[in-house]
Parts: sequence; structure tokens; C-alpha cells
Amino acid sequence: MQTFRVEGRLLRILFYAIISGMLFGLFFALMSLGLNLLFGVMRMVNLAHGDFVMVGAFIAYVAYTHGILSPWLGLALVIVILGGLGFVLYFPIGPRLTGSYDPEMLSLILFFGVSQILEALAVMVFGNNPVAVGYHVLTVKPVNLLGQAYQPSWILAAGVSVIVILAVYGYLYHTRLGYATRAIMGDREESESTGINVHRVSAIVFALGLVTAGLAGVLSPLVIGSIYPTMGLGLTITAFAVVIIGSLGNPLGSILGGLIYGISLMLMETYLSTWSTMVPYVLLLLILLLRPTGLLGKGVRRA
Amino acid sequence: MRPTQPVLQVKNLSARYGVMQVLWDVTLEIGSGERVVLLGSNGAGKTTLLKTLCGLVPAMHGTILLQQQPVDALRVDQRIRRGLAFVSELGMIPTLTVEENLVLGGYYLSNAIRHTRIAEMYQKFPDLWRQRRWAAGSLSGGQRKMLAVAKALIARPTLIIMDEPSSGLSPLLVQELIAILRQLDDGSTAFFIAEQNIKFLDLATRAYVLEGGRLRFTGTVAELHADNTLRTAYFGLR
Repeated sequence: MQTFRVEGRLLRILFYAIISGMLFGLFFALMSLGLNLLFGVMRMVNLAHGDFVMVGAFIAYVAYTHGILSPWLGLALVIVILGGLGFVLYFPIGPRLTGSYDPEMLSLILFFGVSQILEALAVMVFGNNPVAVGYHVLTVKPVNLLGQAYQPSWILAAGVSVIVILAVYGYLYHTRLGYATRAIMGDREESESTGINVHRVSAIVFALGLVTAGLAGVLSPLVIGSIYPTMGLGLTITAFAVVIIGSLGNPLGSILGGLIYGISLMLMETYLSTWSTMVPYVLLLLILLLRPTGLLGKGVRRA
Repeated sequence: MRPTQPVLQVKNLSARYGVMQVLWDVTLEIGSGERVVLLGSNGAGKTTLLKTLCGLVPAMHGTILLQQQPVDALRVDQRIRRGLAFVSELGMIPTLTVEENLVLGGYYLSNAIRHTRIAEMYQKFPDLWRQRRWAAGSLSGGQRKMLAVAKALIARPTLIIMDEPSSGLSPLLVQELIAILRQLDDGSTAFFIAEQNIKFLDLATRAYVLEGGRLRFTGTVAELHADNTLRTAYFGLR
């Protein structure tokens, strides 16, 4: 009887780790989706990806401190600001990079610079200290499910992530522009010969990549707590791990990678919490050793 | 036999591929509804010429007129909207389904027209209908060519430029492809086909021969057949 009760508790903890891992993982799937889109369409290695997440977070923070208390309005603001910025920013840099001899290496260096600039600007404006965005949902009582408590903020972040991921999926697989986007991922020159305006589509994808990163930024106070100007680097590394686990260049891979990352992280947090920060690196190493193309990858990809 | 209403006029076109110049002063003309073959061996500059016409490779100098309008300053997609279609050796996007490829063929059409045209293509090519949800890359060589042709036809272009349609096809499938192209002849679309395979001459009325980036022969197919030097030099025929 005693053993049975202990086993029941262990099972409930395992169940908790898996469910909360999925909630966490969906957020990380969204957080890394843009990195994958940019690489898939433009072969751009966006080292500043995490910094765009940070920019999204601080847009929400500024909005919050100016009386816009709802995360929904923060999300809308990010779509407008980062969407516009992405579309405009693409034209001076995108065509040069994609037309260059080695877009992957050049973009890596370029975005390293962008990352440093964004970080420095954020430190200048907001200082070095972490700040909190006190969304109302953070104060709501945890939700009980099978004897375990789940944070409503995590559920909200995961829910919004699912909606955004589904929207991106719908765009890619059910719209003409999405076909064009996937065509460019498949074969850039062939897409151009077909009559697709590759730079227009690329600019849209660039904007979409920044927007998804920014949206994850708005949601980040709900999942990872306080925000700070240098948070980008860690997020970039996590995003790379997630994307490589799933498969670089395949947006669907981000979802699988995010879920695997989230669940592994929560399992580690539950059973071996001191080791949990190593999870992304260990997963990254394992995947690179066992299946370098990622779980959904087919051919060998560079970068 | 001079074409009366040219759909394509090229004057003194030169182009390079990377750092190497591969085309010198190419001048040619394709009439409305005409079928013209561009013969040449590997490395003669055929693909570069076609890509320059489409805008995939920038011209060094010379002019290109599509339906009497200069298109030199236009992007590829803008040239395609003006009635040009380019069927590359690959001819389709392997990672997309057959249907998605056909949608891209009619990218600039309205939804209703695109829908009707795709349905027409399915009638013409029932194989494509059966495999419409398959990845184009999983089709057989012959079916891929069918898809490439169908994709090009959807926008009803005035000129289709094809790069080595026979590549990767068995001799039997080449015959089949030629038969399909002949069947499609309704006089509204001109074809400019770059080939090494002289069987395609059966399809054409006129031919150009490209050698070392320069045009070596311009004339009717009958004249080409009569031209002994060319026959020996390029095709090893006697």
C-alpha cells in the first residue's frame, strides 16, 4: 500500500514535469521559429535573434510602464514595430547577403554586430538591472490539475505561442505567399525563374522572423521572469539548440525541438535541478553527434 | 522565313557568368507562335543565354525586347509578368507538391482564373491530377517534365524558354515529350528550346547554333539539315 502511494506521487511528478515541459517548450518553439525561418529562406544565421526577443520584451515593458497593462496590446505593438522594422531593414542588408559568396558566414558576423549594438542601446536606455513586467496574469492563482499546480502565466504564454505557430503554419502551407516562401527554402534560383519576387518574399519573412521573436519577448516575463538588456545571448543559444534539435531550415522542426527542449529541461529541473542549465548544450551535442541534420532533417545542411 | 510579329528580339547581347565572359554579340529573333531550337554542345553558353534573357544573369551589353518593349532593366518576375516563361532543367520546386508548383506557375493570376487553368492542366495531364498531393521531387523523370511544361503553360505565356528539356530522360521519354509539345501547338505560344539533342529539330521551323558563346548558324531547320559543315562538326553526321 505504502509503495503504491509513493509510486502514485512519483507518477504525478513525472506528469507535472511533462505537462509543464510542454507549456515551456511551446514558448521556446515560438521563440526560435524566426531563427529557423530566416535561415531556411535566406541562409541567414541571425546571431542577434535573442536580442530581437529582448527588444520585444522591452517594447512590452515600455508599454506597460506607460499604462498599457494588457499583454495583448504589447503583442499588437510588437507586430507593428518589429514587422515594419524588419521589412524596411531587409532591403539594405538582405539582397547583399543573399547575393554574396557565403551568406551564412557573412550574416553571422553582421548579426553579431547588430546584437552588440542592440544590447548596448538597451543598456543605455534601460540600465543594467533586471526589470519586471507585472502582468495581471502573474498574480492569478495556479491552476490545479491531478493534484499539481500549473502557473496560469505559463498556460497563457503557451496558448499564445500555439496560436502564433498555427498562424505561421497556415501562412506557409495554405497561402500562395507561403508556397512562394517554401519554394525559396527549397530552391532559390528555381523560385526566381518561376517568377517569384524573391526579395519581396524574403523581406516579408524577415519581418515575420523579427515579429515572432518580438512576440516571444512580450511573453517572456510570463515564462522566464524579469527581463534585462543582456538576456539576448542566452536566448540566442537556446534558440540555436531548439532549431538544431528539430532541423535547421525547417520551421516545423522548431516545434518538435521546442517540445523536446522544454520537456527535457523540466525533467532535469524535477529530478536533477542543479544540472538543468546544461540541458540545451547536452541536447545540442547529442543531436550533432547522432543526427547532424536534426530530427526532421533530410539532407546535410551547412552552417 | 522571317517572323513578322517578333515576341523576342535580341541585339548584340553579351554576358558573363561569374568573371568569365561566355556570350559575345548574340543577335536573334523569335516570331509569335514560332518554334525555334538553339543547338550547342556543353559549355557553348546556351544556359547563360537563356538565363540572360530571363534576367537571372545580368547582360553586359546589348538589348532584349519582349513584344517590342525593352526589358533590360526589368527583374525576372517583371519579365515573367510580361508573358515570358522559363523552364529550367529542373523545371519545378522538388520540395513542393505538384499542385503547389502549379499554383506558383500562375502566381500572378486571379484565384478564379488560376483555378480554372490548373483544372485544364489536370485534364491535359491526368498523371499530375493523380499525384497532385505528392512532392514534385518524388515524380519520375517524365512526369517532372510534364509538370514543368504544365507549370509554364498556366500563365498562358507568349514565349516559353526551355533549357535542355531532354536532360535525364530516356530516348523513349524524349519522343513522348516531343509528341506532347507538338500536341500543345495552338499557335499562341512561341517556344525557344535550348538542346543538344537534334531530335528536337523535328519540332522546330528554325534553328540557331551556338558555339563558344557566338552564334554560328542562323536559318531554317531545312537549311541546317543541308549544311554539311555543321552536320559534321556538331552532330558527327555524314
